[in-house]
Amino acid sequence: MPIIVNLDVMLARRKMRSKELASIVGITEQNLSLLKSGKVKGVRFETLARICQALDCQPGDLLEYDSAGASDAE
Amino acid sequence: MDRIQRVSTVLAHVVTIGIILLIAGFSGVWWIDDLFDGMMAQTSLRTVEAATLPIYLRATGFIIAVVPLAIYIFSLLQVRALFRGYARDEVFTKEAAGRLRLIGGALVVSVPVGIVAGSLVSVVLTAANAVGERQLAISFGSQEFGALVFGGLLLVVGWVMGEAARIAEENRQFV
Repeated sequence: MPIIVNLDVMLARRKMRSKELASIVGITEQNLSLLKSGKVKGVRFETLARICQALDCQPGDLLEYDSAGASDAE
Repeated sequence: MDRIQRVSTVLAHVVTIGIILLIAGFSGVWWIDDLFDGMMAQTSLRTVEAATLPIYLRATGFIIAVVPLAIYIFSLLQVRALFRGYARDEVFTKEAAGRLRLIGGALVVSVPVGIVAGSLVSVVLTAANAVGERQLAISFGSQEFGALVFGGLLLVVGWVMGEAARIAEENRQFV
């Protein structure tokens, strides 16, 4: 998967626990865990906006494109 | 969704009661003489009477008539399972779509089976009649046509709901 999710990094920087972020964003801890590990099909803009608001960051701080991962996927 | 769950819960119970009454009624009509004679009077087999019909012919007719009934009860069990799933909020699932297809398929299959079984029953029940009074009754009417059409409809709707289940599953993987 060429999209890497760096949510763990942001959570550590903001010293916030997954459980707290899940509660603020309004998704289950299980879904947040799947998001952190990149095992979701996609993220709704609404969810992304809430995460950015909660962690005071930009979408680019959370998501990264890895071209090497793209060629692996092909 | 709450409405779907409430109504489905009620309908699941209605179907359960219906299945029990259907089996009891079917058995009663075949094995209680007055009811049997009443049933025959409403068909083209008016010469068949419980008092004069050999028990082995009545039993054979009963067994043949059980076959389309079994298909009907199978479809009702699928309907009940479908309602129970809806009551548990399992609406857009592969299982629900599969049950719709089963119900539709059973309806479609029940038509030729019913026609053949009905014809065989007419032959069996009149087998003891005098020559010239034996019958072979074949029927195809609006009821059979309706079952074919609605069975086909449920089959197609089942395929459509299968697609819906696939889309819903994909949607569940979005956070």
